[in-house]
Order: sequence, then structure tokens, then C-alpha cells
Amino acid sequence: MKKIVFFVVLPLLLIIVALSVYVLKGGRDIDTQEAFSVPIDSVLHELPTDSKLAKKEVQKVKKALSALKPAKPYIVIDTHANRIFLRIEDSILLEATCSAGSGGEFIDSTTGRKWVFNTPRGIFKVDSKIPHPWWRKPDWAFLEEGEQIPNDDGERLDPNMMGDFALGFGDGFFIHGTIYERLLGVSVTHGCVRVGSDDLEVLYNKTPMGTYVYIF
Amino acid sequence: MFIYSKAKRIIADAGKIVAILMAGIILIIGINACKDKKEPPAKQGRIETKKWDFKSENFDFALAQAELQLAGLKKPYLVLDFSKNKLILKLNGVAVWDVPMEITADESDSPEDFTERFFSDNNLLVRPLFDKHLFAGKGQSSDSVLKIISGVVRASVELMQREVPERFQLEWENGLLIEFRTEIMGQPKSKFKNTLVELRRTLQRPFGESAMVVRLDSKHAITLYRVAERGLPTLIYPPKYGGILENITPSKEANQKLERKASRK
Repeated sequence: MKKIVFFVVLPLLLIIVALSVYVLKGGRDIDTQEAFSVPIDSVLHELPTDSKLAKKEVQKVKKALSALKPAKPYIVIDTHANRIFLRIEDSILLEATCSAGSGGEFIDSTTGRKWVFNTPRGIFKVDSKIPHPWWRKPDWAFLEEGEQIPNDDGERLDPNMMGDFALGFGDGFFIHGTIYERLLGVSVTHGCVRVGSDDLEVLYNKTPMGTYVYIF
Repeated sequence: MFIYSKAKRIIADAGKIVAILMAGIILIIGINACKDKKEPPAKQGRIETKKWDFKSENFDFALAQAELQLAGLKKPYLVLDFSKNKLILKLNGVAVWDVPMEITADESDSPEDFTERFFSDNNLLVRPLFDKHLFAGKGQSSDSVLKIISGVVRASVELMQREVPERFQLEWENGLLIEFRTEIMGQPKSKFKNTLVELRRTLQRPFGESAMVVRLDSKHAITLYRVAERGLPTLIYPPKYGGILENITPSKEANQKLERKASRK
């Protein structure tokens, strides 16, 4: 009898309890540090009873919200699906396939320097527009190939890699062309965003300096 | 006589085992019942601490302020826009992705029911995503092709591969659930986990739930599935909503600022 209790009943009970905990908890605890919720007491949820004051409060919120929306077309880069858009609030003016950062890492075994090849996410602005751009190869480009980092800056320049146009959005990141158009749609870059030549030309011509770039 | 007494003992032992198992099951049902006292049944009378009138100016005002707070995060958040039947991802208050929300009416609770449940309990205006589960899907590119590319660009196949979902669920607390289905035929990710998730849902259903089934294009599903990390803030524009958030136009000031900056460069 004791054996049956020990080897059959107890494990069965443990399984039932574990299942029950899973069922109740939904698998994992939510990380409250990362989770964001808005309880009603964190916002001024009651409008003032005075109609003038109430109108003023509504106008204030409206103004704050409308100030967030770009009045002109903006670029959106969806790094999850490798798609790039030129859009205004309710419509898409251009949709194209692109390639974003691979998320891979490279560590220089001699110095220990580390690079993570992610496309940055957030809100940026087009801060440079360059026709016929040349690529100035960073250190990792040489180290990846097992080559020496050149002392002469001229040896870093490559006129063929970035296509016909480049749109800079800060910190050395660009939306540019590619000689590897067959890889578009796959996350293969070192952080820049590659676009096919025809789409890049349209994008370049339709986006003035200061255009917002939203990357998610 | 000996056989009779042995049989009697075996029956008694079996009885004890059944009794222990029953006690365990009763205990678990008890825990379930206690836990779900906090979650009122979906379609029976709800006990809300705050009952919103979704057409009132106060609700509209509170919602707009909640969205302002979300915009300040500078991270994506999800909007279930039942007034226009759209799923929208926003970043800093700006739409960066939107798709029509095609709700399968015969398999879903009404958007009104979902909205009411969303805004009841805990008085939350924005809820974080509680869980997601991928039932079935398939890789966007073949692994063999990615392996070749991987050799050239020195990135791992896992990082480059994108899972195209066939069927996945997003879940918020308070029994809120949306199941997304796409047109593709995929492979089950884990039959065991799928069964557990189904079991959990079945056990929770009697204690209150509002669930919907939404059809989604597979190319859009990739984005939603990947963005929908646990904790993703979620907001609802209720059905027939016509408030502040639907009537926001870009400000002239913002436009002028943008032009001034551009001309300086």
C-alpha cells in the first residue's frame, strides 16, 4: 500500500497540482517591470464641471496628441517583416521589401571588441541625403574578412556597395541600395536598411530632410 | 476465507487511493473557485468598480490621456480599434502598421462584450499583453536557403528565420483572448503545449472569458506575432467610438517646426 501511495498517488497528485498552477497562472508570471498599464487614477479622468474649463482641458489633450503626428509623409521600417513604408496617417504611399539588421554578433578575438548588428528601433529623422554614396568600411568589415584594418582612410572607401542613394537617419545608419537584391526580405544587414534600387529612388525623391523615420 | 479477507483489503486500499485522488481534485477545484471569485463570469452580472459610459466625454478624455502616456513610452503599442475594425500598432502616437480586423462573427463574442470586459476589473484603461501562444506555423524561408545565406553574411539561421503563423492566440488578464488565423497551412509547434493551452482555456471558460477569432493575412501576422511580446501595452477604441482620438489631425506647428529644421540643414 505504501509503495502504491509513494510511486503512484503522490506523482499523480504532483502532476495535478503542477497542471493546476499552470492553468491558473497561464504558464509564466508577467514581468511587471516591463508591463505597462494605465490605471484610471493615473489620469485626470473627470472633466471639470465648468464647461469652459472642460473645453480647455480637452483642447490641451488634443493639442498634445496632434503635435505627435507628422503633417508630412513619414517612413516606417518594420524590422519584423522586413518591409519599408512611406505613409501618412491613414494611407500608404509606398510599400517595399527591405532588409534590416541580422541581430548577429561579432567579437574581435584579439581585442575583445564586440559588435551587435541590430537596426536601431525608435523615432529618427532623415539627417542626410546622399546621391551616389560611397561606403566607408568600418573596422568590423575588415575583421570579419580576416583582413588588417588599414591605416590609410582611402582604403576604407567602396563606391559600389550602397547603391544609387542613401538616406541617413543618425549614428552612421542609412537606408541605402544594395548589390545583393536577391537577399531583400531577409534580415542580413549590419544595421543599415537595404532597399531595392527602384523603390529607393522613389523614396529618395519623396522624402525631404527632416522626414520622420519610425522603426519598430 | 483467506481469499475473501485479501480481496476485502485490496478493495479497502483501492478505496483509500480513490479518496486521496478525489481530495486532490476537490482541493484544486477549490483553489480554482477561490481564484476566480476575483474574475466575474463573462455573461452573468459583472461587478465593476467603475462602469464607463463609452460615449461620455469623461471616458473620451481619460482614453486620450492614457494614449498620451503610451505615446511617451516611445515603444510600440497595440490599438484594437473596434470603431473602424482595425488593428493598429502605434509608436509615439503615430500609426506605423494597421490592418483590417476581420472578426469571425459565429466563433466570437461581440466587440461590445470584449470592450466591456477590457475596461472592467482593476479599472485599467490600458492592459499589458499577458501571454501569447503559437499553435502552428512555418518558416518564411527554407532552412537550407538560409544556411547558404548564413555562410555568406555570418548570421545565424535562427536570427534570420521568420515564423509565419497559421494560428496564434494573444491573451490579456481578465479572460480576454483573441485568436488569429491565417491562410497558410503550418506545422504544430508543440502538440503537448497546445493541449495544455487548450485545457487551460477550457477550464477557465466557465469562470468568465471574452474571446474572438480574427482572420489575418499571413504577411501581417508575422509582424503582429513578433511585436506581441508579453507586456505589450494594449488600448481599445470601443465600437461606435467617435471621440478625440478619431479626430486628431497633425498640428500646423509640428509641420512648421519640421520645415524650419530641414531648411536650417
